[in-house]
Amino acid sequence: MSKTSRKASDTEAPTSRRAFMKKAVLGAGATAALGATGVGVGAQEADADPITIPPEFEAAKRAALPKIDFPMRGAQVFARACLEEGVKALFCCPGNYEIVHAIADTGIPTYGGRHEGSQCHAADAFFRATGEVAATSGTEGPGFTNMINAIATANAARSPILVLASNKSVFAEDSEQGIQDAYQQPTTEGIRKYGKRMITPARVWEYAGYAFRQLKSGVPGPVHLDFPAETARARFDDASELEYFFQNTRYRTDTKPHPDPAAINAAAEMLRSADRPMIVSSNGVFYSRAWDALRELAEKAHIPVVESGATKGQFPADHELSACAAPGALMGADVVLLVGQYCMPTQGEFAFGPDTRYIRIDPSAEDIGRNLPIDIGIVSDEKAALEALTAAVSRQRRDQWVAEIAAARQAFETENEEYYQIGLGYTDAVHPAVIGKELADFIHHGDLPPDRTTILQGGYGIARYTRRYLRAYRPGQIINGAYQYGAIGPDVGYAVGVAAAVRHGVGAQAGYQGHPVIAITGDAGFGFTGMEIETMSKYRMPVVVIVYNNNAWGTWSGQVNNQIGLPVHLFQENLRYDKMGEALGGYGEYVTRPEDFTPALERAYAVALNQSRPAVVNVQARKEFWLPEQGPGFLGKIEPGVMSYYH
Amino acid sequence: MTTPVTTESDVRAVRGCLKEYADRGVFRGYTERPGRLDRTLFRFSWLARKPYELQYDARTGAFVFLNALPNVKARTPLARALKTFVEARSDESLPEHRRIDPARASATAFVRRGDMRLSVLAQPGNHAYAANRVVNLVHEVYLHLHAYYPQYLWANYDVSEE
Repeated sequence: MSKTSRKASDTEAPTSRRAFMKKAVLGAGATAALGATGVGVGAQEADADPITIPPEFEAAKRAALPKIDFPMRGAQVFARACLEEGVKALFCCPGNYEIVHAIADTGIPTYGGRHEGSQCHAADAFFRATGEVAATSGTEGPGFTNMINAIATANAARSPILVLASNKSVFAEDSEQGIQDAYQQPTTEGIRKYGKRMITPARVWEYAGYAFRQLKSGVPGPVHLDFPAETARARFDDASELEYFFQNTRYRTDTKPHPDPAAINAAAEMLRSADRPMIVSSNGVFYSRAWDALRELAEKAHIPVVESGATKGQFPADHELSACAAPGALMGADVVLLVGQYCMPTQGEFAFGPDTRYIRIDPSAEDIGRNLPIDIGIVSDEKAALEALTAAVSRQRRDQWVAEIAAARQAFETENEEYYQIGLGYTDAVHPAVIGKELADFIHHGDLPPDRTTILQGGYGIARYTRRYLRAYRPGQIINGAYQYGAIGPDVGYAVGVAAAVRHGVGAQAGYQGHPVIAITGDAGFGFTGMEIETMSKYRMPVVVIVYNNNAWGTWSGQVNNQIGLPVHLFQENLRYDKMGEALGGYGEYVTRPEDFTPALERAYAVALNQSRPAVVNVQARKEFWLPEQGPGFLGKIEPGVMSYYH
Repeated sequence: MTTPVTTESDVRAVRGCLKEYADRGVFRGYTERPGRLDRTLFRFSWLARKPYELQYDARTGAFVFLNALPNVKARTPLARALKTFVEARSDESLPEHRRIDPARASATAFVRRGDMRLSVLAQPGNHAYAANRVVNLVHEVYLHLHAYYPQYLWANYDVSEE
């Protein structure tokens, strides 16, 4: 096997940050998002740049936004609601034209990709990276059903994505007239928070209100709206023709539920009397932007914090109270405060022991006590409860417990180093421990500030290693891959959403605008959404996609003794996903030896940085790395939730 | 074997310890059934919603999880690793709350008819302590399997491969 030859023109020294930002940052306007660096960059780098962007991108970028006012079509009324509610991006494929174009016309950044499912994943990841709502759209019938897996995955993560789909016409219902006819709402039952087929045109604004109430309150989740043609194309000459045409302050509130003081006092007393308390910070802390309140409570009461959930970084990994890299200590906790843990593990799905007592903070009274029995329940917005608890607890020191956490962290790091050394012993393929360790060295311990790079941490088997080495130092730094739903393959789609979030510096990504994103996936996952490399190229997204290529589905190791059925779990060997990346406008590296991984990563990062385009680093492993006898083998998980992914 | 010096208060304390796990929802479907001699069999659903059987011998202070680890063959690498792990639960380097104090109880793992059993033997006057330790021991072993032998749990506990 030969390594891809290094391309000097692709890997020149980084340009200045100012020059890079000038290329990477978008101006205002919907279509400004399209080909941000577009034609200009392509022209500047005509000799080296394999990306040819149609001139229509530049024309769209320069076009003035239309004035949106009455008379309006139903789609425009809905798009205006999206703008006023602060929808930050739309990820879609062609179809549902009225809605997509109306939203683009408002100036909301609009991205078109290669598959509706990938675009729906992008919207999910955009939210998980930013805390801001994104929309996704697909055409009626197959475009919509292509999104089902992604909707379910977002639902498991409690991501409030706005799923939009056209839905033929009410008139033609049940007729099977034409194509793509289906009644879509029942399809998402059980995998969404709210859904509505908007059959009454005059209620389009009202139903937008229904949608945003659901998206922005309580425990979030996907909202699925179907637009029959009668609604999308309806004409309204003035506001009087619409029902409930109010400002959003009239149809929803930003106030949040606050905790019962008695429950707060009881929780403060339980924490005070605990010897070894721990806080589990999960999705709700990020969603309610409660990271400062979390830190204040942890520091005042001297309570270690471990993170779970769909995104990481609410509590900095380098804080003395971080238990994120101390899995061996978790079972020692005697009181656990669960904050924003929406997808609740059952007994035995947490690493905490049988003697652990639980306090749970959750906005939904209906969910408290589900799966895991509680000792104290606090119904509240996470931020409000953490602030109230901070005021109620006494300042304490728990040096012995914190020392125990530190010892567990040291033991974990020692074990990781041992795994790395074992990995280096395999010289004809790249062991996942080498990827995890050297990737972390590059992101966190090299020339880059450790908090700079936003990471999409996906994959299946490879994630069991990268999670051991990668750290999150600020909110939204690590977006975990498919959450509890367990889908394989969303990762490259996720990376589109993360890259858009970083490009625009939205929400939690505000301080990191324009920097390259690093995404990790497996060869099985790349097969699902790898075509989105083309989307990244088209929009000049600087993403380094690392593909852990072990020639097999992650299920292989569980079937290794199943001689007849085993081929089901295998691919061709040594496939060149890097070449696929190159064909789609990206830069490619193929790595077959451990000593070549970091240099390839550095070159790929330089291309992403300097040319604002994706790179695929295809890292050749072998499936046998998952066998116990090849040690360390297929590892378990380090999150507090030991059974369910990322809990 | 220790000299049988069990008191009624020991037995009550053991019952109280185990019943509290049931009251707190850690154990589900908790039942208690008298066995031969002074043995009592406690049955409940617990980790991975599997049925567990804990045999308590009030005479000897022996607690045995009869079906803790199914399909572990003797003298296999897994059996050896688990025995080593269980023996290390008394190591002085462990924090007190994670440790089985050898002055009060001792833990062993052994294979019977293709299954591994986990046992804690109480020193006199320490039955309630041993009851607590044996429950924690099973949980520790379960976490150890999650971390280092997930394939075993897939195959034997119906744990998701994800």
